Amino acid sequence: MSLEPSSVNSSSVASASTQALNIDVLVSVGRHSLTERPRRADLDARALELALRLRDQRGAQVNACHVGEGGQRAGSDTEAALRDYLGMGLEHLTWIDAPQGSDALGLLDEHLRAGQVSAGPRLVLCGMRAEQGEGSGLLPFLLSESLGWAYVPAVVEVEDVASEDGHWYTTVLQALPRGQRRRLRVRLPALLGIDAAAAQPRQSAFGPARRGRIEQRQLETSVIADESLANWPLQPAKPRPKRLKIVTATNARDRFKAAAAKAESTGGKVLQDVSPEQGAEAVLTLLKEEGVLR
Amino acid sequence: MSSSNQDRVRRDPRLEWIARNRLHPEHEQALAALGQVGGSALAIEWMGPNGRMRRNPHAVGFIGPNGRKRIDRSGAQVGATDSLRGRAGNTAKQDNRRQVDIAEPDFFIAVVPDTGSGRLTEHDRDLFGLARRLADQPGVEQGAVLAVVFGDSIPEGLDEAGADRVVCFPIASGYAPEERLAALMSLEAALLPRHWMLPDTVLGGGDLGRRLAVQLGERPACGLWRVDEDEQAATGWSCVCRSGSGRWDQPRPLPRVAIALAECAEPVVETRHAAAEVEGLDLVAIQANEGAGEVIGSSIEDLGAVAVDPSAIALDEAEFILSAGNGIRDWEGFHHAARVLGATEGASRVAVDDGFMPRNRQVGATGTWVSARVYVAVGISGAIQHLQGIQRCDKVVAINSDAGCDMVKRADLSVIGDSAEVLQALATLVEASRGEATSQQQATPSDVHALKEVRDVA
Repeated sequence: MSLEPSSVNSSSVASASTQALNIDVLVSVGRHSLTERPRRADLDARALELALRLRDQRGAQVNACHVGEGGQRAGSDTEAALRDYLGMGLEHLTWIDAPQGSDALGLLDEHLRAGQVSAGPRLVLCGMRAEQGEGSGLLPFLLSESLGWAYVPAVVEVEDVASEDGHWYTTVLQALPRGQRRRLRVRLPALLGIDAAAAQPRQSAFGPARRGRIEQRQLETSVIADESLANWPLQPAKPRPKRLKIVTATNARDRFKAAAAKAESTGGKVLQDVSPEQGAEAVLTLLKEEGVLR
Repeated sequence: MSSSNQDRVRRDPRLEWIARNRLHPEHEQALAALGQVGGSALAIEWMGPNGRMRRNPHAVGFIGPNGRKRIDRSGAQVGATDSLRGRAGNTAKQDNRRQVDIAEPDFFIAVVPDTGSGRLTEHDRDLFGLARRLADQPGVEQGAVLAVVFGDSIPEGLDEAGADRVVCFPIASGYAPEERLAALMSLEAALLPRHWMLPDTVLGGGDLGRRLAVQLGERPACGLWRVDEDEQAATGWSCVCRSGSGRWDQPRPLPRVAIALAECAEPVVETRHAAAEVEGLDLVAIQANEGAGEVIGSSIEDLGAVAVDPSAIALDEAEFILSAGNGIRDWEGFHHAARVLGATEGASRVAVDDGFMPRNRQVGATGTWVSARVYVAVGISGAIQHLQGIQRCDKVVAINSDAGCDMVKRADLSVIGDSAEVLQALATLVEASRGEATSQQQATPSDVHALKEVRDVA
């Protein structure tokens, strides 16, 4: 916690008027896990939510961008899903044309490079993985490599953007397992992968969704087919086999005990006829051993 | 020669014959001479005339209080000394693992375990099992499993997990993916492992593995859950990857970098491996990594953990739960203790039904299945539904007034006594150990209790 939030805030607010924060949000078309209907992808919507909050708080400029199959636009599933994003309060959204099964990497790379307008800080937000297709979560890593920007996964909150020694830095919170959080300071420009623990996305409103513009864009970069998908097509997932409980007991008694699984004494320590202080002491020792006491 | 003479068992066939013949006048003396206890206490096991071990089935058990013979196979009863002696041999922890040493491996399979909180996770063990399968492929070549760990010390249990070699990079536990990546790249240059295996966890292997694959220009197998032998594949193996949404499978040849899900293979149970530190190489590697780390590692800086409000953490992912049951009378004291300890609050069904705790705090089969590292059950007797709900907890502490309840049987540590007093003593101890820092919080417990009451009433 070397940063003092108040001082950093004041400096960033002062600079926000001169150099606005540029935020690009990469959005994809999601699919509901149960009904399989196309919708806004949950993680991408959370990323957009984060960007819109930054826009409201510090006047950041938010651009959303989607790479996907063009085809018949009006009334398509993709358009309906993209309008869900527009309904969250975006005025326009860029739709980069790419045939199905093509690699989005080169297109996004070119789009983000062209989007570099001013000397202002640059932030790219996206969900950690897509809801459709391979969904391996590899794209932001590839993008960060090709752009030479840092990538931070599992971000839940952008606390602050400030400049120091001629460089822009952002302070973000990262979600750790078990509900814990960690604070990171990242040099901009950077890509942030948004975690499912980030703030709930706001509801999509119908009016703004209708009014919002979807801008089509063709890029000069030649489209490359995704060779992984072409060579090894996806198949509907089979249920994974449940792991059997392996008992390597040599005698019948142990095997029987393992089969008849009843919670039984595991040789725990029982403190009987002790004073409350002694009992508390023993509990405290265990808590300290496990390292759960902060 | 002399030593083998001492080891050899000398048998007296005549004495054995007398010992077998219960009607022989010297039967008792013969038994005593053979080391079997004569008279009332009978021997359980002895070596028979053909060198086989003989057992006396009548010698097991003990005489119960009503004068009848009892045989207790549950192991709970402390009975006759004979049966105890017999059991001690069975229950003694014996090491059945076969030692395997691979002196000159033809290739390496590198595994980068997560080692959460200094221990190997179950996920890591599965991964080592998978790596062993790839290394022990029957054929001309014998591979070695190389464990790559970060931190000051090497975690225990790597030998039983199945690692032949270990490389330890002294990189701190904070978030430093670029530094770790540089370490892995230096190892790649030094040893050129045939495969890299990482667990698909968000901030551990999943992050590092994808970075590594991108650096190597390799398309990694993410979400891998099955590996099969395949003649047609270049590496001799094919794998199946689960998509991020869980709806699709992608069968493909096994690439160099594999990022695997939990339960991708069976963990190693039958063998023990050397887990020897790689000599000569590691020094070079660390130096190379330090040089690289200074250049790249500056773009992400770890500012440390952030204090999180424990009551805001969802119950199923909480690390430390203080759970209340029917035995609680002093609810203010319970909330106070939870706040002082920094524990997430849980409750049994009875406490929720009686309106003392909100429904979303209920632990058990009908509430939330929790997976805490430490679960402290205060005044909970342990209904079977509740015990099911805490199955995945590591350590269970019971504070209860009834020593015979099921929760005490399940617990690793039980304190029998008045729960309110023990909790109060615990809170006092913790406050005392924290000293001045908490004394200010202690000054305002009343308004917090008032808040809690308002919430409970609402």
